[in-house]
Amino acid sequence: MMSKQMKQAFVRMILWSLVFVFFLAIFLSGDTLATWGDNTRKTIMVAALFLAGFGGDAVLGVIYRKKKGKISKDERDDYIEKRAVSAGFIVTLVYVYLLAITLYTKNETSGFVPVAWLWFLAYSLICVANISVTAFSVFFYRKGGQ
Amino acid sequence: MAEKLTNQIRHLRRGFTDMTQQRLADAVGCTRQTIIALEQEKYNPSLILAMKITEALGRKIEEVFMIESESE
Repeated sequence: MMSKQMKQAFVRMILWSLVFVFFLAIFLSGDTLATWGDNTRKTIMVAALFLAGFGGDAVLGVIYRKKKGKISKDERDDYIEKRAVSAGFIVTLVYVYLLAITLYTKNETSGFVPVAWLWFLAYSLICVANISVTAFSVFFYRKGGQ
Repeated sequence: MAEKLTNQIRHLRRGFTDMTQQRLADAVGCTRQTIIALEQEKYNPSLILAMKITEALGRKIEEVFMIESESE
């Protein structure tokens, strides 16, 4: 049986995975990378997508909020959350490092990096951080906590 | 040689006090999932939680929790 905290982590993982998939679809389709600065429609679409992601987080926070007199979170939940955040932090660091070094290597000869890739890095790391932390939470919950 | 914390929570809860996992969880202020993880020895409790559990079961700490050596 899933605990309330595990359910919340699982739903958040699905939510941010969907945001990431739609983000990739918007960002990597057509000539978005070349025309990012002038493409107001896609900029608004991406902003709306992330608004939906953070809005979903807020809604989940309300749905899974502590009910009066009920214990929904204890020391084991805190322990798992700390471990998941530590592991997710490392994944996010590695992701940023790899993407930055890839961009550098690919654009070394031209001498400049298209600005759209910096936006891509900024937006995608939000998704990667959220997905990795929630995925590690679910993983540690399934392991039992230790 | 590694050491592992084992416990007799399930045995004492069912055999002597006939207490449900939910009742024990409510008595010590944790979730039922934590009691399940403890009984399956997948989670090591804090000293505070361990003391609360032994109190709820009416036992001494060494009767509920013990350290076992396991060869690697």
